[in-house]
Amino acid sequence: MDIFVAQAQGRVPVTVFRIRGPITSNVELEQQARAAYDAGARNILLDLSEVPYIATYGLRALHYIYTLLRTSAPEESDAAVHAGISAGTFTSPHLKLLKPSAHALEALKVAGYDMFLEIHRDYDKAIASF
Amino acid sequence: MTTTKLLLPSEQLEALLRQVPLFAELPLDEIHRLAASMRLLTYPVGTLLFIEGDAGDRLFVILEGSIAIIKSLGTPDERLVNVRGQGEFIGEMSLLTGDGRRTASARTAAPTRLLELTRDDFEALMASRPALAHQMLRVQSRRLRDAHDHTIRDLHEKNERLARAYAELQQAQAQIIAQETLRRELRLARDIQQRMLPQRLPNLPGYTLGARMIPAQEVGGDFYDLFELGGGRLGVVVGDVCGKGVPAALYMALTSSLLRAEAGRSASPEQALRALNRHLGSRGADGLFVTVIYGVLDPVARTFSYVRAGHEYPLAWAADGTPIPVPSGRAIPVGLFPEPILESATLTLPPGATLLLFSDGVTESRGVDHALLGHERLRELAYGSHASSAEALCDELLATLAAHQGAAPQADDITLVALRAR
Repeated sequence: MDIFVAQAQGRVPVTVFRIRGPITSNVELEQQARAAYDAGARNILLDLSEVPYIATYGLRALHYIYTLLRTSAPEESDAAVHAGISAGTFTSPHLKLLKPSAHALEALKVAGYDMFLEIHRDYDKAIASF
Repeated sequence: MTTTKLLLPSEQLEALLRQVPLFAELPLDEIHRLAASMRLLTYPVGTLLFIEGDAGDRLFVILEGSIAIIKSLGTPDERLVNVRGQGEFIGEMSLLTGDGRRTASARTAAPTRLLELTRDDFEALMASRPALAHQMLRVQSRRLRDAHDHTIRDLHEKNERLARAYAELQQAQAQIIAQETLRRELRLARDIQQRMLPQRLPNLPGYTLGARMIPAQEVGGDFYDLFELGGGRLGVVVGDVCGKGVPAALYMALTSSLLRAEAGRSASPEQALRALNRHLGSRGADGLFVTVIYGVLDPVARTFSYVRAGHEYPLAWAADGTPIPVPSGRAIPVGLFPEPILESATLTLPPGATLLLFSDGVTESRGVDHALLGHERLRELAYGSHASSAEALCDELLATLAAHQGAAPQADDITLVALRAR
């Protein structure tokens, strides 16, 4: 798995991780996310267009990044997140996904990750959504 | 190799001989005699002058350049004894020792000019000039002392190398022991983990049951469980802790134990899984979570009521291979959120129907070409199977997985649990 990091500017600065190869380990992705966070990144878009599939390690990494970027704002409290996921009104405002492959999307849906992570098909719209 | 032998005018040769300390004090007549008998030789660098063990019948005096004295040339024990330079002589040992053999090899270390003295001339010179013999003896004594010191130093160095090698050997041995201990402990952990799985599947009248779990490493994060509940009902669990290795195995053991305990006292599968989520959440396992499907088979009602927490959807099909619809609701793994979204559903299993629960290690099984087995292929294999029992179905699927995988390493734990209604 290779990770290419770039910066984009929408309404807020967005750090884009373009990932190439299957996500079968959580370590590298978590480390890169932590480094970006420590450098000031608060919004991350994961471009999954070159990821053939995501193993459970990948799901672990996604949850790690989701938790890393989660703030203490009232709309991100445990209660608000649970109510929002149940009602289909909550997705993370800080972590979003771009163009997952069919296999990757299946893994995300089976594990319910599409309930709290927005999935975009268009790069510009994804950046603008932050 | 270019060798030049020159016969120089005697005046010139006498002048050269005077520059050699050994001959510096010789009277003029001896210098004349030596000059008449010695030859001047010129060699390029790298010329082998003589080899250890060869018969030697002449001595050389170095006028210019340098010569390496080497023991055991060309062998693993080859060792540079010394380098002789201008004014020194070499090759005298074979003239002094009884067997006349060279005691070392000699090779020019630079373009070199030598004076060559034959054995006869050497012996005549020694006989006529005892002082010269005495001086030569002093040189020999010094060389012997140097050689002795060199040998002692060499022994010291060898001892030190030996001590270092011994220390490294001890360290390597300690590492081997540690690795072997780790391997033994992992084997033990694997045995313990395997023993945590049902050793014998329950006997459920009207059904055949099958279950298999193949960890990708010594210990894995997958687990399954089948246990009897009251009223002839059967609890069935398949779980997958994210990750592999010892942390996942420990989390798997915790999850499996907690779920079995909660299953016995919960009114519904969903209630049991919510209780499990609270337990796991309170233990704060860093970054670990688990996908689970837990259901209760009621053999009388022929229903399988289950709750799914981010785990693979079950597959169910009738005796003729017709798929039994399975809801594709949404659910989140246990351990991620304080109150997870879970999916509850009930399937009806008519006679001959089969239910298959599995972990993602099955669909994510990769071949040598990295192609995934995938959900579609698994459905084709399951619906098209003519296996005679649930256990036979598991073995049939495992064999297909092994064929798909070929020589590629197993990427994830593989778990299959099947139930077939008679």
